[in-house]
Amino acid sequence: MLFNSIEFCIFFILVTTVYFIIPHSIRWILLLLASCYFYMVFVPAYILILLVLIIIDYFTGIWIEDTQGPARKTYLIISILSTCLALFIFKYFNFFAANVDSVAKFFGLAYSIPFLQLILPIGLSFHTFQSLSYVIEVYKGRQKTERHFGIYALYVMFYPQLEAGPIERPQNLLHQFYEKHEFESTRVVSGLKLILWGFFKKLVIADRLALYVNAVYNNSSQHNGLTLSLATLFFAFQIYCDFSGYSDIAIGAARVMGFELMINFRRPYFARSVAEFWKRWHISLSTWFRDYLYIPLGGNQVSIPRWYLNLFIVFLVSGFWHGANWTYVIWGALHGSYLVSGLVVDRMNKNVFHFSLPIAWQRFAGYLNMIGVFLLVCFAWIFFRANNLHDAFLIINKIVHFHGPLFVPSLSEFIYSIIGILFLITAESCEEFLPGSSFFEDRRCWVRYAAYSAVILLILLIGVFDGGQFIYFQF
Amino acid sequence: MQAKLFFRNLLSFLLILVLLDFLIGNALRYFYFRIKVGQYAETTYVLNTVDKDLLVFGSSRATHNFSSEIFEREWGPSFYNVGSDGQGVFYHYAVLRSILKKHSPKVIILSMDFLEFDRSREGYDRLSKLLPYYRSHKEIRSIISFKSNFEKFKMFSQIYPFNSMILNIAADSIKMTKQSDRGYIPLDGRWKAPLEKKEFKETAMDKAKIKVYQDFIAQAVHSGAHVFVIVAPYYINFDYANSSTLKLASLIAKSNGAVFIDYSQDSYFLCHPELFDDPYHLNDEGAKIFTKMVISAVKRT
Repeated sequence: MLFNSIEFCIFFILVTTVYFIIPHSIRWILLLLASCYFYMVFVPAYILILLVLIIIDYFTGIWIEDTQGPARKTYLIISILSTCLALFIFKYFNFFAANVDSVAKFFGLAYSIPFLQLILPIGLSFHTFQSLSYVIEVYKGRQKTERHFGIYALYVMFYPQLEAGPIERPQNLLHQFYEKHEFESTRVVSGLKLILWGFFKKLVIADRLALYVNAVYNNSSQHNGLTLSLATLFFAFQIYCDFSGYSDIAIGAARVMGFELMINFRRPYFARSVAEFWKRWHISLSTWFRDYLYIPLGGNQVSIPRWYLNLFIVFLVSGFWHGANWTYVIWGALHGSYLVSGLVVDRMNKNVFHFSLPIAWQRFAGYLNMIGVFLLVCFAWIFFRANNLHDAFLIINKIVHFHGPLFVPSLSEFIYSIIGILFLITAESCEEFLPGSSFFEDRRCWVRYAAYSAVILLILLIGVFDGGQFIYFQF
Repeated sequence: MQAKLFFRNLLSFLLILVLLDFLIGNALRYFYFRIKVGQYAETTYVLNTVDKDLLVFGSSRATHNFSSEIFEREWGPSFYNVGSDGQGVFYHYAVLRSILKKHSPKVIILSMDFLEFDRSREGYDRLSKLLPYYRSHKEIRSIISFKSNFEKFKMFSQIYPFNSMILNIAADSIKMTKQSDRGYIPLDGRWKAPLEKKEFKETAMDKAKIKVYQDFIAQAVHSGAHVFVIVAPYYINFDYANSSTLKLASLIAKSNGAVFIDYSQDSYFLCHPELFDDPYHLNDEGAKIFTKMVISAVKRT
């Protein structure tokens, strides 16, 4: 079920109302059934894949806790392998087959692996990572096994974050299913505000920008450098609003019922370095990779070249996690390179410059860094959005040879896009530079009401109601 | 107590919202229906007033390919191009139903595309253009419901029917838009690129679109009009001898008593790129030549 649909609004109101009416002891059943329904709206049969993974991880979790010695590791490996196998079959098999085919052709061999005609289950990468974090935490002894099958299943399937995260940790989420959540108006209002802001980002900004971005990127050979540059800039805002909009709705929907999910975005385009960008962008995934890949690889407690390699590997894997396409791998590699280069430059600066700039200059340098980071991130988005590597390089080539008139299919669409972006920048600048100045949080009731009304009316006036699904669903 | 206060505040907020929605929505409605030029004025005229003998239905391949000047000269003044850019068979059927309620044209031409029955969402989503008429035109409600089952609930909002229209309403109100020539919008580009040979890829067909197309033909014929389904020229060398869309469209047209004429691979146009604005649309010069061909075919029948 899509968050940006009337069906979801009805579903959410019904589930939340019933949730607060029924006794606490049976609320988990309601949430589990609701989550199953929510998932089954797409491809009902795929719930079986989820069920198999839940069963495997549920039992391996118990066995890991109940067993001593090397068998614990065996159970951990069984769990990790079965989860990765599901990911491989549904997400990576055809990519693997296509590459084997290409390599065979290169060596003149008539060898090919047949493709699988499977649709990728929505959000597979998200709930598999959430399951993995549970099993790993149990293995590390940082989390007690969840012996209630229903609660464990709910941990994996909790509907607000089932399809595109935030990827939760068992320590944060599992215990919340046991807590009794009373109806608390402050929390409900806070959740509803987040949902409203999420809808604004998705319907007014992301889906509006998608019209231009898709028109340009899907016919990249027919557009010039200026148009492609603008489409890339628009895509930077589109993907941010699409994904952070989803996260806001997910966190808000959970908060209304009393659950606190982890924050996934903190105004990433205000980051002053690529490292800071990754502390603000898709935080639940960045921290997942930090905890379960970067640190096991040795993190920064190794030699400097190895440290850089660790960082690079993490971003390469992160790119591959996003999709089975070389464009994503290059996107990850680019971010890895940015990060490593940043560290190298930082070390050089420390060795060369032994004085600090005046505060005004530091602030100015901070703003310049912000613009620089944004441009680097935009450059990497070209690979993320391009339909294939050929298109990505063509787009870069055209952007470098910047000329020609701007493609504007509809002036009104264009103005709506600009209005949305300006609204976002203003709101996020206020939050970033003047914390607590948000109209949504104003002490005066009429200001808050005016702000809510303005956002709702803008959604009705210029939101895109026929927009597609969220970009991150495909991962 | 806390819940009681919350619901009281929520209710008062919703009341404010309903009031604002009512005021803004009705202001938009007022300005929308006062527009005299542009696409919205065109749609209002087509749904409420048009009473011509010959009507051309279709997408941009109707609005740009059928020249009014030639119709005027060869057929007479009773002609109107009721096509609309980007629209598909749902829209055409809705327009037909509205027109037939008050008037019976003598000749109906439906411009057909080879992807008319394509399973894309666009044809459904673009029905938004008809939302301002949902309340006043009962006959189009069932067609708008193809867009989504919740459309009638969304229509509780007074602003929703005018979603994404505010800037165009403003522009058309101050007459920033060029007026069409009885629905015809001439294009002035001249295509220069060489003829492209494209392999025709058949996509899955949408049963709802096929059914609506069938209903369009049946109702148009039933109204007593001579019905022509015409595929205008492309400047693309398609290999679509096996296009099931065109085969099916032709079969449905013929079995319902309509005439089906396919100019998509007309050899004359394939040799004259200068008659096209782009591979899918003729320019004004091309449209004049093509319209002459169409009128002589209509007169022959």
